[in-house]
Amino acid sequence: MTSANFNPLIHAQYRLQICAILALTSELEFKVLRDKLKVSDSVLSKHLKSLEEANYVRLNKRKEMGRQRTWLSLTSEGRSAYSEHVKALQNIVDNV
Amino acid sequence: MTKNTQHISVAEAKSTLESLATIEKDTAISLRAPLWLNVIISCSYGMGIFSWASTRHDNQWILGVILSAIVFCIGVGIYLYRIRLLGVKPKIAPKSRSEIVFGVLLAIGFGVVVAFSRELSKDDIWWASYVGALITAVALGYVMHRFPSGDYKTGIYKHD
Repeated sequence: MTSANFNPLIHAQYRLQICAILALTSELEFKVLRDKLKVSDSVLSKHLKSLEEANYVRLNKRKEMGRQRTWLSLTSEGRSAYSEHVKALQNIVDNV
Repeated sequence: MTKNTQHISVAEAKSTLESLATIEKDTAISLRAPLWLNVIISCSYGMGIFSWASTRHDNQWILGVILSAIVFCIGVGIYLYRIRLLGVKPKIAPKSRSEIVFGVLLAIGFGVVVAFSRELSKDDIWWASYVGALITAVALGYVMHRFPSGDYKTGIYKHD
């Protein structure tokens, strides 16, 4: 049995999906994430804001090829919180 | 922010894990190199191994190593540039324990095959370089296709 932490902030549906997607990449562009989750800009921004406030996600705005692009990445704290949360979910399932 | 709690039901946890597996699979697929690029990268790698295993002081197979390395680097560069244009930056260095384990095992596996093909080829076993090249090319192509995220936990399998 591991002492994995269930994280209510991450557990919300979209936030969990955001973490799952970002965990597999180094950085992902905002619009790619928006299209993957099939949500509006405002909904995604709201969830990213909560994750950013918890220091789980880092937003990086850069001008590339003449246009502004927002790149998102999980911080090491975010990676560890996500991984702990998945372990906690796995523990719940395994303890049946 | 975090707490040790189990306020959710087993069914909910199970369905959440299933939805995570689906989204991880979709994301991993978007990290895949297209098949033509996978073939170019894998074949240039295999060609490099063959050339290196065949290199002696009295032949010019070292040119094969150089050409293969150039093609390999161009292939990887095209992959990274293409995927960046699509709005995704893949991880270059492993960031989780499972990724480190996977990377180390792959490095050991490839290293053993390369060393054996070189040594056996030097002992006049002519087919060793062909076999080493074939194994490394097929293995690299397979890993790039099945594990584009560099983690065995998020591999893409047909039965998924």
